[in-house]
Amino acid sequence: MEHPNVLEGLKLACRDPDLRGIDPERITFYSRRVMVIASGKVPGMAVWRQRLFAAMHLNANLPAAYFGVPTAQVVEMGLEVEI
Amino acid sequence: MTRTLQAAALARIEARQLPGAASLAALGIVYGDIGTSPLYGFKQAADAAGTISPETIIGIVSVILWSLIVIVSFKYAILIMRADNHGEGGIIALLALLDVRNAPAGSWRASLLIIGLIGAALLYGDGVITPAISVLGAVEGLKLDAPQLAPVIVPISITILVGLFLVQRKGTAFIGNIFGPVMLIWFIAIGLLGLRGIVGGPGILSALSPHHALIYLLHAGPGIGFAVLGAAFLALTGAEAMYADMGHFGRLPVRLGWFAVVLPALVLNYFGQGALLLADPSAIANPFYLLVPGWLHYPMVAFATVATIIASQAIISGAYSLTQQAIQLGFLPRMRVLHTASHEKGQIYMPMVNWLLAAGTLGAVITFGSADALGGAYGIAVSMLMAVTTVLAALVALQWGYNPLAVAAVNGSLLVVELIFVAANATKLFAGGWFPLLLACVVAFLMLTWRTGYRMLEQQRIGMRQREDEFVDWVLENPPVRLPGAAAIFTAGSSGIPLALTHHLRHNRVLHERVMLVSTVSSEVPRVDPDQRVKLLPVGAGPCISDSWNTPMCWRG
Repeated sequence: MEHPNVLEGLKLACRDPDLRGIDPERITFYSRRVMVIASGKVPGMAVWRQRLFAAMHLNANLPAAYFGVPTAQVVEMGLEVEI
Repeated sequence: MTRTLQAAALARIEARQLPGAASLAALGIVYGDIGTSPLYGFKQAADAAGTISPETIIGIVSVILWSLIVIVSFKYAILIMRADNHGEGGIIALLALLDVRNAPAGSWRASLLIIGLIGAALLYGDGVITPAISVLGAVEGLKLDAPQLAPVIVPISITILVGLFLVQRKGTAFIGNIFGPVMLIWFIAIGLLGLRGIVGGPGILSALSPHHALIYLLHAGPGIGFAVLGAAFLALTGAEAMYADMGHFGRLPVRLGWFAVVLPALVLNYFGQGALLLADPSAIANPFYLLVPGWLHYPMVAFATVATIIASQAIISGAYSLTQQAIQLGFLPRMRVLHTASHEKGQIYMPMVNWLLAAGTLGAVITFGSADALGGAYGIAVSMLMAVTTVLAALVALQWGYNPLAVAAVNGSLLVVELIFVAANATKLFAGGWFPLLLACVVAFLMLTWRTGYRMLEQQRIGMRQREDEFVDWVLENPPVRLPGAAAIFTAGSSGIPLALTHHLRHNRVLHERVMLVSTVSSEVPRVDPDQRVKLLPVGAGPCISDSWNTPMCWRG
């Protein structure tokens, strides 16, 4: 069963000679928090379903937490995307 | 019901363990659901038949026996369990075997993904009912000796279920070890009780011959025949768990558990209930508990309640792993996953799933109020899921080069039997079958909305993303202040610069000396070798971005 853990992955990656000297515990993670704007711009779904999607997206877990990155290492960027 | 892949919720049983030990563990998880069906399954079928004549009783017992042999033993234990994806089973494994995820959009393979989505939605629909019907069925044993206790059955059941959902947060690893032994004792107990009944009415043994089942169904007329089949189907619910949990326990232990312990115990018990009814038709009030000698009555109610709690726990854990798989397939948004035991990677808890499941289950208890009433709601989703599994398994068999005629004959006949069960369960639509179907429709609708919406979002994001070379050029022309240290940016797509990075650069006008773009890739293989988990790909190693890497990796625990 899948469970992604990026920090563990990066620890493995940092053994690579090209990434030597990086302390995985001190990496800053930039993550986005996307606000979905339901506007009907992209065809394929009624606007009310787009709104439902936007609401689900708002409640969706932040990628950093899902990927097993400690919250203290994360900086979040706000983004707006119209669909 | 009901669960695809228990594997996420529980630690994998080590391969070096003896099959016997793994079988014991499997008894507590895989067979909790089907193993507690005798509490209500036979009674429902006998109720559905209306008049209790010896032919009816023998016919019903025969129907249950041969359904257990054809659907559970032959289809699941022997046939379907051969279709494993690197050891893992379940409907998602079937989709993986068919390579559905990499199928081009619009192809017939891609449309199978929708079938998988519907299958997953159906699992939630029944996942809500299983704990409700089993716990109610167990607690209703109180009514036999003390009819005045009838009004407290629903409150007691609700208390037990609320408690169960509350402890999920703490994790259940600490009691997980005793599930297997408790269920082993349960199976021995119900087997012995059945034996006791058979000794009292050996006439039931004629139900061993399948012709009693056929003659009864043909003579009962379509109305009653379908009603009996729909109710008898409750004896089969839970069979999918054998396949879904196979990856967790291994094929041999699951098969061993079924043929050595569960099947004999269930058959003995159903025969015992039938024999009791032959001797005393008034036992229809509750044939399971009336098999129990009077002095053991209350201990048995307590024991049955424990067994149904174990079965419910397996379903809750199954819902977590089903949700994880649905997230992985892009059917649901990512949700919070908590690890309840740090040393045991497998023990997870998903608050959102837990509380939605709790709401659904308690809703089912309150709406229907008794195991009998819930029997009407139960079965329709499982039977549909079984039919879907048969179709997908046929496609896998064809892909594996089995003779198409043999596949058509075997899976075709199974499908016919299962479609009869679907039709039989469909007659219960207005008796409560609407409940899981409504839930499944809501879940499927949410999943489709999420899937489509996410695609739209991706489409828009790709349009907004800068290309790597453009980005490198742009950084070279407008050099930002470089900070010591390293930054990592998540990126969902495999190409282009993530919007978070452009955004960051535009506002902060600084860039770390080393910037890594991190993306994760799911693999169809359940476990990836540690050496192959991480891949580093240079992006734009211009003089300015000294180390810029794309790191797709597979991470499966």
